[in-house]
Amino acid sequence: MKFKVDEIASVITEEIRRYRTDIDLSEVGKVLEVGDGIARIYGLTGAMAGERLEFQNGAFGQVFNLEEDSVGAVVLGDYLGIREGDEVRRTGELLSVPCGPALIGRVVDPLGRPLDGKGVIETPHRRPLEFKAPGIAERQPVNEPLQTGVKAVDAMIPIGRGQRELIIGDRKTGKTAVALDAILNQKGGDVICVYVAIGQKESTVVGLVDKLRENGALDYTIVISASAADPSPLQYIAPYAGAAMAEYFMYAQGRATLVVYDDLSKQAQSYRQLSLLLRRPPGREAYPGDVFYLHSRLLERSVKLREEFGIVPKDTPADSIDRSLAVKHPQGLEAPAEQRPDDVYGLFHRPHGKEKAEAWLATLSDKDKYRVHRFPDTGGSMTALPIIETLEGEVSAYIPTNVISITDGQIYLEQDLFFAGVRPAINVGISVSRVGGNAQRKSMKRVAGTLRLDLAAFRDLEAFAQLGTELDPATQRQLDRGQRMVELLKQPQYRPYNVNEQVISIFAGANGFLDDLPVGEVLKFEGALLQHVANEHPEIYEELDRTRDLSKELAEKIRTVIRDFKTHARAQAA
Amino acid sequence: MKSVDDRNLGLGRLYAQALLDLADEQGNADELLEELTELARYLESHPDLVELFGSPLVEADTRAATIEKLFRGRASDLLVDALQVINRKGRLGSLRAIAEAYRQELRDRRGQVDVLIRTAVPLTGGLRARLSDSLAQFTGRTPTLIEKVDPSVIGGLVVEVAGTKIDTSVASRLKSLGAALERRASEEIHRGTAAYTSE
Repeated sequence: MKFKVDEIASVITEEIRRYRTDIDLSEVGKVLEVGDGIARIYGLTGAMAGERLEFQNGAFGQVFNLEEDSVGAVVLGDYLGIREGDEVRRTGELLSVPCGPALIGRVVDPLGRPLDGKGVIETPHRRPLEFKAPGIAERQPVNEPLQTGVKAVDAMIPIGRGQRELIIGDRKTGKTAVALDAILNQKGGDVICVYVAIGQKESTVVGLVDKLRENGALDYTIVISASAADPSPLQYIAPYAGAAMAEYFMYAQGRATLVVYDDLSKQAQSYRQLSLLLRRPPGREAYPGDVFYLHSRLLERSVKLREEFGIVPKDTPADSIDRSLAVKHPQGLEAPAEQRPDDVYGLFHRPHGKEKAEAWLATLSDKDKYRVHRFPDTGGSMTALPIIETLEGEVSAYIPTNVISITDGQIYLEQDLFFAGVRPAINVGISVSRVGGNAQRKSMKRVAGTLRLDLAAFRDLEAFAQLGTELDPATQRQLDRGQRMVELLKQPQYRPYNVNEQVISIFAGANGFLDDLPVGEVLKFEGALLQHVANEHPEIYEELDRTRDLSKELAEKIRTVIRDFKTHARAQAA
Repeated sequence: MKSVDDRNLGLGRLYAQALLDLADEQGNADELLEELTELARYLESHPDLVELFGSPLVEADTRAATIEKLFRGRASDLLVDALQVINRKGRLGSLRAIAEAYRQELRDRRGQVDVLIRTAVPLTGGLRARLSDSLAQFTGRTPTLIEKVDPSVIGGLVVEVAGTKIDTSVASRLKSLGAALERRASEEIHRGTAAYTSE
């Protein structure tokens, strides 16, 4: 191989010819002291809170404390290369991260720098790290399901797009596994996933990325890693970076996103470290006073954005986001209710925006020239699955109670269940989803409606039955059913279930088709049944997808199919 | 004079402002500056005195007596009284910072400002005058040029004034050109090296 020297020289010449520079005028300060990832800087009187700083050795910093003579800053990167007296310059901008489609499939650090050796990430888009959550006008209630593929979650603790659902539990109870399954289940769908690893072992992150790649999930996933070896400022900003990268897809493309913060207890710890080093006063458990705000402002950024419709000229391209094209109703907000626009710009919003826009369009004399347009950058969502690690099941510690109160529900994982072989080890009794019920598919709602209560009743009975008392047949039946339902909700890792599969499987359990099977056979039977339905009766899945409901006739049909399958299986076994 | 730790300047400023207010009242602010500068220089050549002033092992009364003996009659009463107050507050160790803060504060009130200029070759007279004029315009104050010849600048000027740095040096331009070339190189490598190699 030979190098073409001329080629290289011409590129360099061209680069030099194009090179222009303005007079470099910047406000500079001097490092007074540095250590443990923080620096105190003399000067920089004009610095803003949260501003990005540049140190002499190339490291970035972020302004944290503004004091009379000095500013306290955190160093994002190599603080060992910074010396006392070094020059620090303001950049006049807030900290931001690169974002956009170029990041999908990549593993990056919280500043968006690649960690996977796949070269530079070229993207023109950037978003600020801290971004104020949308207000009430831009939102809509959670109403669309986000399927996690985990039977116990989708049936009893349904999650909607735009919801914040906490996953909480001791170490080694499968918290990450639930979140990972939720990411894997988005395969083939329209959801962009962001996985943020905070303060984890590098080896764990490598394993996780490998699993994502094996299952083809990296095609729609961004992984952000601030490992245990990274300085605490990077761990502190990691979740905000993840939210910013997801926000790009939500705001610019109107897409649905799923962000996993794994885990926020470690982030709170790094924030505590920074705050103490900056001499901010410690509070409970030595966390600073604003540790609640640390998580609330992050999780508030999860949102389901409203959809916007407008009447636009017929030749408007489908991807147009120009609101000024929308024709305004002549009566404005005084228009009759069934065709009244929802804002002063003449746009129509959910829930009945499309219908209202169509109603008004129908009354226009030159309606052929216009059409109803859905602005494609609206209706996006960010669903958050924050993870919190507890110690010895202690949910009343400071950080867990904070995050429980911020989120829209929690999935509680228990060590006892885990060791008893119930995996995922979800305690369905105390796990809740406060808003997801509205988003659940009707078909699932019908089969899983009473599941929670039945399982709760079963647990009471189970404790009672352990005393060895004689049981009446009705109680015994309830116990049998409960045992089989618990068995049915077990699920291997990396095997998310499609929502229709879940409906059939829970339908079989709830309608007593499993009661006469030995408990150990339940999962085997379920697998064979789902296989049978997929092969022989695909019309059932089609119908479920089409109507998203479970009509009486369809229920009857499923019942017949299961009954036939059972008889057939028995006959074969005999 | 050795540079003063910036950390102490904030503290020094408090005393310096009070001192300057008094001196202005008596109309001898400039004399006091001279005295303070002289004192700071004296302290520099007498490290044992600095130790005496700074050490917590020496009692305040002993120090007060020393001050009386050393300075009363030789320096203005204002300075000696100020030293006694500073001693009582246990801040004699920051004396040099107070002197420096006083100097800056006085210049600030007079509308003067220090400008540090680094060049590769010494400034010529004409250039110096032009620089003074434009800096006076830029800052709105009377600049005092502190010139430094630094060959590593290569060419052009580096001007530092009141926390702002104006860098027109050849060194920094070369550095940013280097960074631009580096960035381009990594982009080209990312795109593939086929265009630049042959079998």
